Amino acid sequence: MRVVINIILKEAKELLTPQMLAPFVAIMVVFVFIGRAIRGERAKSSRPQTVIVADNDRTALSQSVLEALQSDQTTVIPAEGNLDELLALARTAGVTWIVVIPESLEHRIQAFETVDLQVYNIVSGFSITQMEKSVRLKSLFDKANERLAQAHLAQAYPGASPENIQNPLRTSDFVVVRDKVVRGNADVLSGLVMSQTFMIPIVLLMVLIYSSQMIAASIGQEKENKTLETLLTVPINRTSIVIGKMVGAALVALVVSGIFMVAMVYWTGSFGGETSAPAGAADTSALSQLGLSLGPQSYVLLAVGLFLAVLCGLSLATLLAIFADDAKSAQVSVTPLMMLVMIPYFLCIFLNIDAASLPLKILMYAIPFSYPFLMPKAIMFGNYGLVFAGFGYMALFAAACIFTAARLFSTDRVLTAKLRWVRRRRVRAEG
Amino acid sequence: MEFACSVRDLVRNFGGLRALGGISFDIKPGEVFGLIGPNGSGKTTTLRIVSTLLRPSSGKVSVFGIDVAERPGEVRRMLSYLPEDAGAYKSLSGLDYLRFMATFYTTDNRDRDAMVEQGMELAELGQRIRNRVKTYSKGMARKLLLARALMMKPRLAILDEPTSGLDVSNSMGIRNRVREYARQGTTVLLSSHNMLEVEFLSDRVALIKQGEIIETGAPEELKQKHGCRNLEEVFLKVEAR
Repeated sequence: MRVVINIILKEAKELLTPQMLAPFVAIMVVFVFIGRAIRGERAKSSRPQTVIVADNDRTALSQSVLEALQSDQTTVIPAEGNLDELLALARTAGVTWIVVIPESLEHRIQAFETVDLQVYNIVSGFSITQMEKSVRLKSLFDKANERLAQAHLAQAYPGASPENIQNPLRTSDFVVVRDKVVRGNADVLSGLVMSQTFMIPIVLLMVLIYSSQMIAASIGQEKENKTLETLLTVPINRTSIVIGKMVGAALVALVVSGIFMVAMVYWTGSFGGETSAPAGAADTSALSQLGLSLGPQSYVLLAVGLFLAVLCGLSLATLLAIFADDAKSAQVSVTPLMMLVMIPYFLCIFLNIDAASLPLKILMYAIPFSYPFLMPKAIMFGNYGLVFAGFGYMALFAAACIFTAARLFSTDRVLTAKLRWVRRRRVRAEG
Repeated sequence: MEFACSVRDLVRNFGGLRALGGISFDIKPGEVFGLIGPNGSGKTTTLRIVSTLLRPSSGKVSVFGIDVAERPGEVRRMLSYLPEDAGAYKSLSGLDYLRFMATFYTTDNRDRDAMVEQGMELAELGQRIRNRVKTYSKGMARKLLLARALMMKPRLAILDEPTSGLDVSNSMGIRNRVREYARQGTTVLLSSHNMLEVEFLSDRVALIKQGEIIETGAPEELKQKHGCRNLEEVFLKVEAR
């Protein structure tokens, strides 16, 4: 055990160098900086915006339109004058929106004709926050339209509810999961479910990619720096070397992934996590009633799945890197592993595997890295057979790879590929 | 008598290439035995087999009576191997490197510290022992590696081209260290294509060419036998036969 710990510490020292960490720290700083900047700008853009409104109609109806534009998100400044005067006023006041209500508004609305409100947006740049402001203002016009329509209906059908006339049909949404039927909106629930688990594939991808690269670099460097031969002649069990390298690489990968994830979470949080419709207490309750919320036991299962997947990745990367000659070729040698991780990752995002074709299903279930991506849904829908079958398969896969890697380390195969090439070159030279 | 190392009809093939064609020799305990030959003659392959890095294609090799192919773990406890182009871990300091390697030979902290002290003394790097290996010159790195190979007082030290690429003063220092350890009882198997160096260090030598041993004996005996002034002339004479 002490020997393995010795190797782990050495691996960590070799891999966690300033040259290795600097790019990740730089990425983190950039992400945090960008995230902060975006948060600041979004905070600014969510402040109430000011709109100059020129009411050329000056009727009760135009006044109600003006009132509809006033909200906790919008401050209205009444004004008069022609367009040039309004633009000058807007520039002086630092206002970017002007709305002009035409003279004949009340008359035309009462005649059931449409009215064009002129909306002027003074633009000095293009950005997402600019678009958000535009969307907010437009929603106020929708509100104004709603009010006017309801006023018409109330006038035409006194005693009747204008809302009932506009929307005679309503839906009561129910979600059915297995044998449970609960009132709720499937879109909202879907968003809530995804929000519980959206980080899992990203975390798994990061840890798998970095840990594979780390162990490939470790083995490649041993060969390149000519330290491997010495290590193989010391009195240590070869399996200990393999396990020490794997654990060392995993620890370094966790550190690097952790740095990256902190930066990613900060950055993505800058954009907000919006679902298709806002979720309320009722939706959260529906989630629990349907058994679709992940409790502590579920997260334990997911953690076991992640751990086994990382073990599979490390053991396979070790096996592949053994056949490389140096650090560069070792990192290239783990490219097949990257493909095996990316395939299930993207398939799970875009497809429902249960409904996929048989060849695709076989492919997914054959790749050990598929199971952590499939597990969140399997746990939620009570498909524990898949969860535990996945555990068993990944454990067997990792054990087979570790055993094979240890066997290769125990033989001269780990050296002979290079030796054979060097020997042939000498023979040709002497030839 | 139990030999420190006994090689019998050793053959090693690399695919279709025969690197060793059935060599045999014995090394007595406490002896310095040199393997001399030109580049590509099979010296390094022989040393790698004795040090348990490679397995023989056929034949038998034993170290202090233990077969290297059957019980390599036990053999590794008795020997240390210094490859020709060995490196040390560049991110570690010289001291950390010695500590790292010492841990494989003892679980006792005091023994480990004593081993590391010995290694520091052998390396003769002064305060530079605390600097990272990547800041070392070739000579400094080689002295560190030799110190690593000798600090645990192995029963058999296998040194492949120990002074390869070093200047005169560093080479002399290393040769003196090897002689000193041999006098203290360590058996040494070394290889070199520098025949004058091997003549200086070795009690007995084997001349190897194209995977076969062409002559064995003490340097003085061989020179007298063949009427030569040095081993280089002996080698040229014997290979021409």
